[in-house]
Amino acid sequence: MKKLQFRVLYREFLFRIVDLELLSAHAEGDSRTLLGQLASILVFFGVILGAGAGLWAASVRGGALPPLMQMAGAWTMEHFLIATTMLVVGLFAVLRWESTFPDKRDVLVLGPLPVRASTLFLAKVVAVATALGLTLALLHGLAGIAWPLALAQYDSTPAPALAFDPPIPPVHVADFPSVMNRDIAPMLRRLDLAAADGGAGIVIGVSEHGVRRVMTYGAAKPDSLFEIGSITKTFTGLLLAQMAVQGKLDLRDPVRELLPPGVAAAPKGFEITLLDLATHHSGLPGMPDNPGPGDLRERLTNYHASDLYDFIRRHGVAKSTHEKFAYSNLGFTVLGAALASRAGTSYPDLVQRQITGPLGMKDTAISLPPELRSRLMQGYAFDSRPTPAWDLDAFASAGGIRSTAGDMLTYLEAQLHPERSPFAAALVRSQRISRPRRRRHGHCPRLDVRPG
Amino acid sequence: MTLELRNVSKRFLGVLAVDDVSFSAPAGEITGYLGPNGSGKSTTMKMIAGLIETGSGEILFGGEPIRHDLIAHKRRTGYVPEEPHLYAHLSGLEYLTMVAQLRALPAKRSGERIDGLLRLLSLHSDRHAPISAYSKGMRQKILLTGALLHDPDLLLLDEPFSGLDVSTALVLRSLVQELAARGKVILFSSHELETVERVSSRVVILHRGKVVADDSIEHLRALRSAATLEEVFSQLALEQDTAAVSREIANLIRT
Repeated sequence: MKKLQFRVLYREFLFRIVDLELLSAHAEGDSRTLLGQLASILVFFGVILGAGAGLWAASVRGGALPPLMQMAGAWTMEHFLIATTMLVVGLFAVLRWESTFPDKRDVLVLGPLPVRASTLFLAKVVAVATALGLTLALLHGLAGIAWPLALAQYDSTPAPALAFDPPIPPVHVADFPSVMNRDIAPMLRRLDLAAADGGAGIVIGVSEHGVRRVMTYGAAKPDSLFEIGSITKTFTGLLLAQMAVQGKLDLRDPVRELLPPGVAAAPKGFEITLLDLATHHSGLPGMPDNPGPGDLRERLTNYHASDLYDFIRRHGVAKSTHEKFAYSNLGFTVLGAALASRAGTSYPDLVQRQITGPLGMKDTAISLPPELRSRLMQGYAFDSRPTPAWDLDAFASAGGIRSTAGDMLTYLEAQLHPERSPFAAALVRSQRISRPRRRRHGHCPRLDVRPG
Repeated sequence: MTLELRNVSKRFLGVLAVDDVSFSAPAGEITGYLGPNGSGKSTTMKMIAGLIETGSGEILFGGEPIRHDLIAHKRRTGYVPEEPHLYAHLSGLEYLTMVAQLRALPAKRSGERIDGLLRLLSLHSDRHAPISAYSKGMRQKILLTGALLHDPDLLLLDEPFSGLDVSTALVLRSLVQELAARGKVILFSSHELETVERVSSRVVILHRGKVVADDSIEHLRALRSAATLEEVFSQLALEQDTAAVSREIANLIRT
């Protein structure tokens, strides 16, 4: 009799997991119709998830996805399946936890009947567990079978298990190529340097006490030019230090004073200084809000000084009392424009006049003449497709310099041995520029520019 | 077979709802169980049905304390509660089938009984509609059918006429008399004193949780020099002058 009672109550509670009184208008009293509709929705999503496994497997087999994308896809899907399972369990726990206990209605309806409380409670618990299991089975049943099969095809070599090599003994420059070939070449092969048109390459330069060695891989040649990206910011910082040493400016000067007249008005409170810009403490956003349309490259390369000044006019040069560190390409763009304006020239010309010229870095420039452009390496995007060169204008001071391994070694040697360079004091100053430590209470007043 | 209550009391949050109630309801008789609102009638009914425990005292059926085997007691008891508590998402037929299965009645026999009872109570055509669409009277009929399905020895009827139409009420009145004649123990609670007077041979009257009368209606009428059970009830259980109260209400709503 207890078994029969359990079966009857289990069936009743299972159908009632969905709040039938709430939804019965749609089911028109037929609980099976309602549950069937819910099951159909879950199966629908389950089929979509399962079909995703088929598409993924086809893409992997067809070689449409690069190894990195395969790895990202596999991890994302594994996490998604785990996360949705946890979500469903969590939703059940939150929404239906009270279903495991008999409510007042159960007591009043079933109380007069010869049903033991243990039978009632057990039927409730099993019904909730069944509903949870069924929901997960309908939602993830197909995906749970399809995805492991699909992921089994995935070669996980791009993500080797973590292994720790013993410390590498010091290597002389002369021995460097053989060490690099032994340790790095296998990894470089996996990076698929051949790419689509065989134009990709890597160049590595090493300098030890003036002895240089330049190694090339793939399509790269020793005199190939590369976009050095944000290393450009160290050039901008060095220019700032040079002009400070030359007495042309002070690090605490408001940037407003260096910009062309009329670009920025004096704010009421604290305002952005040159030091703020050089140390990413200006409070400026990473990117301006007024670049034109297109992808990131187009938006950056088509951004000119007039756009920058328009932004500054609207945004102003005010800052709060305690700006936190926030990496900003825009900040270095403003700094480069301010320095060029104070010097009465363009940023590329300033770099050539102050740094690359004196150091003899003939293969380093922002705007490339035809001879240099012919040696510029083809760039590739994340998906291994060739991407046009980034010929930056206003953003040049944040990342527009192109250079060779040889010139970069020259720059590195100047940084390592400032005393041998033509602008030793500026190099030392640039390496020591940093935010002053904040006092316990408030900002260091020495480097803040107060209004008036 | 007799239902017997011995010094039964029940307290809710310190308030004494049932106070030392003792009476017997023998088989073959319909015992009327009367009292004004809040006198403890429904609480007593629930204790006899095994829905709530007694605070003190003992309830016996057939000489056995019901607490010794509550499940066995519920198998022999049919209970029509004051409020129609049902699973409203089920249809009438589904609900009664569930009750029959939980009472472990043979499927064939219970199916025939349900079918027959639904026909006799004019519910057969609505048997597949959800109970949520039923009227109060239809729900009351479902409760009554559920209470009778297993041919109980003890029938507890708490306001069974609530919401019933005239013809069904007449059928029910005859039915309880018929069942009493067949040796069932029937405890019948209602505010319709005229009905109670017609069907019951004896009454127990409660007032503030205590038994104030336990006798045959005839004897009570003679004892109280009253023409009707209503007069007896007024003397024993009513504290108000009903005519004066009604006058005051009428005056109050005019101001």
